[in-house]
This record gives sequence, structure tokens and C-alpha cells, in this order.
Amino acid sequence: MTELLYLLWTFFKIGACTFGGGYAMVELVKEQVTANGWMEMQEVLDFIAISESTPGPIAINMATYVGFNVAGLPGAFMATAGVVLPSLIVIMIIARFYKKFIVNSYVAGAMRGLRPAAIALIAAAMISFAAEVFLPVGFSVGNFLTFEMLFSVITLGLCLFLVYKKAKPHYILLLSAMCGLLWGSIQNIFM
Amino acid sequence: MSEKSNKLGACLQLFWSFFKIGALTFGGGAAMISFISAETVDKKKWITDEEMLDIVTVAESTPGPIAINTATFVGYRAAGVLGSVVATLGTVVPPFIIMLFIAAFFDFFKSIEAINYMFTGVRIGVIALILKAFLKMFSSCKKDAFFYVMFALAFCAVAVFGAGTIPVIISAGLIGVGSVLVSLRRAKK
Repeated sequence: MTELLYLLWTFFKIGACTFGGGYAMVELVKEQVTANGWMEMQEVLDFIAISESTPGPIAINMATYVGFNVAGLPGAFMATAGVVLPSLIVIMIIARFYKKFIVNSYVAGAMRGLRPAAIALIAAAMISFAAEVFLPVGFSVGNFLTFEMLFSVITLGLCLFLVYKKAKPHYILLLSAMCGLLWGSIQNIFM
Repeated sequence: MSEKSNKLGACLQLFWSFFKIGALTFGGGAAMISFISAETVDKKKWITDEEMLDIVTVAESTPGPIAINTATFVGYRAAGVLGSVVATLGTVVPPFIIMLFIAAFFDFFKSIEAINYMFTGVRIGVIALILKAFLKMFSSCKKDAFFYVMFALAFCAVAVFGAGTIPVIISAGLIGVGSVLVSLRRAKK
């Protein structure tokens, strides 16, 4: 029971501290699930890919998946309820006087502070994930002179090209999956 | 028809509309809003175009994922408190069911070697996706000196000094409110 309440509380915090949705919550989710030992960094990355390729908001996908892994169906239910509750509560309070809310200068002020912070959190998440994937055992010159690193850098280069070309997320995921499959097959055959 | 059965009918329709939205939109957030707007403004006429714009503004500046905030708000406008609960449930149920299946079979998928190879590549692809989201949000923002200072402070706090995400978000909001207080006081003088 305490585990279920803890899931509810953790995902309530995630819901209550997310401004902007989607990728703005990645750093917060990563921090919470790794600190609790619910997921490894790499699993979080795998999971973003899965969220991106299944319908529904990332927040819901993530809560359901983590909740299920920690405590089965009741866990999935509690975590999803937790991430949704702040929205429900806040919107129900605000809905009556939302016209005033929109023009309130303190709300605008808070957003002026929150927006750059949310964007900075995305950048921080990106850097910590990149460090995890490219430098899993820390920084040294030897790590850079491997075929694996060559493969990673080529894959990243191709993905960045697609980002530059404003390709849809699915194409980026598909391309990187094919790169991974190719690299795996090469390893199997030649190494 | 009594008002009560009217309301029940409205809630059933709300649930079904948002169930479709939850089941058919990929990528969350922005993609969802255009779908919600097509369904609830153009098709069902529960809310007006102008209301929809206001709702998105509110959804962006209140805590929680934008898609959920928007669903809750549209539900409230259409059928009150019950409407907001029903619309939120509708959005949540499809991904909830799909994720249960994925969670149940994920270990099995991971035992297939080819899928593991794909994931080694996909992890790099996801980094590119995060970069894409970052660039999109960064370029759509009005950037003044205050923005850059806040951005740098938040980034350093988390990436360099390992501060917790929640304290950083709360402080950023408070600093933003503080900046309004300071400019109001200046305006008085």
C-alpha cells in the first residue's frame, strides 16, 4: 500500500511540476525514476522512443509503464492517476475565471521565469543522455577510437541531418533503428 | 428530454471524442491540440475558436501535460466537473491500455537480439529527438536578457551543480513572479 501511495505521490509531483508537456518533463521523469531505481538511464531513452511511437501523451505512457513495472496493474493505475490529478484539480479551479487568469500579470511573470527553465531542463536532459550513450564508462581517448564510437557518431550525424531537414520524429527513430540493426549484424558476422 | 439525461448524453459523447483523440494522436502535445480543436470546435461545436485559443494559453501556463490540461478544460466547458473527468478519462484510457500490453511484453521483446540492436541505434535517435524538441521550443520563445539569464542559471544548476529539478522549477516560477513585483514597484515610483 505504501508503495502505491509513493507511486501516486511521485507522479503527482511530476504532473504538478511539468510546464509545457512532452519533452519538458523528460528531465524530471528521468530524475525521479532513476533516483528510485525504477529505471536505468538507457531504459528511459528506450522508453521515449516507445512513447513517441504509440498514441497518447508521453506523460501518460510513462506513468502507466513505470507504475506497472513497479506494482502491476494497481501501480499503473496509481501512477497514471497521480500524473493526471494536478491538471484536473488546477483546471477545475481556474475554469471559472480563466479570462482573468490569462491576463494576470503574476501568471505571466511566473511563466516568464518558468519557460527558460523548462527549456534549460530539456538541454540538461539531452546532455546527460548523450553522456550516457557516448561515454558510458567515462571520458578517455581510447573510448573514442573504437568502431562502436564510429557507428554511434555516424548514426548521430544522420539523425542530426534529419533534424536539420525537419523530418518527422518517426523517420528519425526508424533511421536510427536501422543503423542499430546494421551495426549489430556487422558485429555478429565479422567480430 | 430532461436536463439530466441530456448531460449524460453529452458526457458519453465527450468520452468517445476524447477516446478517439487519445487513441489516434501520436507524439502528444502540439499534435493533439490540432486534433482536439478539429473534433471539439469544428465538428461538435462544444466550444468556439476563440475559447480554444484561451484554453491552449491556460493549458500552457498551468502545471501538467498540455494535452491533459486541454482535455480537462474542454470537458469542463462542455459539461462541467463531470465533463472534465470524463474527457480526461477518455484521453487516458487508450494509451493506458496500450502501455499495459507493452509493459507486460517488454522483457520478451528485449530478449530478441535484433530488437536489442535496434535499440542501441534508437537511443541515439532519441537524443536527436530531444534536440529537435529543444530547438523548437527555444526558437518559438521571445528572448530577452532575462530569458538568457534564467536559462543559464537553470541549466548550470541542473547540469553542472546537480540540483534537483523540482526546486529549480519552483525557484524559476518565484523569480518570475518576483520580477513582476520589482517592475510594479518601479512603475509606482
